Amino acid sequence: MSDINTKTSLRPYPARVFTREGMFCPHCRRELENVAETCRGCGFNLNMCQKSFPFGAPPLALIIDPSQLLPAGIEEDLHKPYRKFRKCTPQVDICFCFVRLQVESPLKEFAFWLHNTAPGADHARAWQLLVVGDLTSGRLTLTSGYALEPFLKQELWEAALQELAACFSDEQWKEGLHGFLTEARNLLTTAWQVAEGCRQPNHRPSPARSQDLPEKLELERPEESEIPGSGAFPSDTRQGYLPTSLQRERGSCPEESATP
Amino acid sequence: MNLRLLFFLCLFLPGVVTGQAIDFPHPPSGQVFDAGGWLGEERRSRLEEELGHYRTSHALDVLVVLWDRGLPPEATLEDLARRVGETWARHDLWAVVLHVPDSLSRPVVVFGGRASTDYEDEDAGLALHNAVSRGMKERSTRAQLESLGLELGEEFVFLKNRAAHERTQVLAIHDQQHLVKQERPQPMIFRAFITTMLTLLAIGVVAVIHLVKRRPSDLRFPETQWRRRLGATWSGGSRIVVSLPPRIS
Repeated sequence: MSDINTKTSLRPYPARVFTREGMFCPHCRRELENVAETCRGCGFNLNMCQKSFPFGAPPLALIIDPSQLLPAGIEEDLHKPYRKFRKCTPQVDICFCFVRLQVESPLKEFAFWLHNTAPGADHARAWQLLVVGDLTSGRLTLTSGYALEPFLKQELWEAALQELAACFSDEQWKEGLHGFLTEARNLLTTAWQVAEGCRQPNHRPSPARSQDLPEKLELERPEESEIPGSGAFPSDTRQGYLPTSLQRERGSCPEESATP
Repeated sequence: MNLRLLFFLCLFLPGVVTGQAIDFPHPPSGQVFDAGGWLGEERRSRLEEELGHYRTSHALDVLVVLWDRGLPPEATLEDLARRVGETWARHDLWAVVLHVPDSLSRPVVVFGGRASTDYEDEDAGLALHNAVSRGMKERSTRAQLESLGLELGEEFVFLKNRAAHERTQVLAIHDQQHLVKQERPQPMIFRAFITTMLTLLAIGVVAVIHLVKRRPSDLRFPETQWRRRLGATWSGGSRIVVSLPPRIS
């Protein structure tokens, strides 16, 4: 299995051209080797993660707020900054999700799971930014798709996320989200400028170098996840509860109690 | 021939007759001619002092004449006063107050001289009118004569000073314009060129600032070979986690 995306330009750059940062397991935080299907330290992978969240993921949208943390009409207030964000970098999309996880549910694993299993995924999912906030632990996390990952500087985005967290602490929801969208736009602009600088003619892979890689590969479809039950998306601590809005979006949804 | 000579003689006869009818005495050494002492010594002294000051300081000759030598027929007091001024005045601007003592006629006031043409007729006439209005308010004729002389002096000194001030202002404006013209010898076209270049420069600076401040849009990141891992199709998770700071109540 290859990790090469082929539905892109003729000359994909190696990620190391733009970043040297390591990859880490969301479960045990151990550094991963390249193209690791399973964490050597803890055996973590997406399949294992799905067992922790035995319910259907909602489709990604600008705001996912099943617990109704944010005030009504917040999406309208964010329309302008969100439009500017998309205009700046049309490739990149962003999603804010606020949930109330159970105490034993790690936030990073949840974000990892949501990013990969939310329905409606296509190539654009690899350019997605996902901000997940857990009301239980009072933490925020940011994940990005593989395509965008090499261009993000951890410390810069961490600082932006801290600003958002500070605003949320003061219940300044609109100001926090507005500011984060603006800061994200600035960071992506800077990242693009850096990437343009890194794109040197001698870094482009020539056909002779990539002879060990197949020229055409069909992108693997994500495996159909066998969701044992429809348990609650963590908007409510009650087991088996699914909000009406999500029921409508998902269509037919078996109402079964979640398997522990 | 005889008729023509007679005709010309008739034209000049009135002037000759008039001129020969007035027996002009010698002009006074000061400003007041009062052979009979009608004004009185004290009043005469005051007038001499004040009117002498106008003459020496402002080149304005104001004469007060008490005429007791008779008047030719068909000659008016104004004509006489005018002849007195033309004959006795020592400056280019003069005024004469003339009265026949113990007569029923009111004093007459005339002004003239080459400098009188420097002023607008309206301004000079107004000055005369003001002087006469104030002077004739005195009760006695002697006081009126004294007051007329003094008021005439004041009015015409004011007129002179105002005219001089206006001339000074006009000259200053002309000098300033002349200096401005001297300081800017460049032709108009050069000034227009400079103005146009400055305007274009300002527009260029504004445009540059606008372009610099304008946010870039439609930025496209290059495609990379994904570092896919942990069996995940789209994202490998992240290490970025922050905590909400404690709320300070």
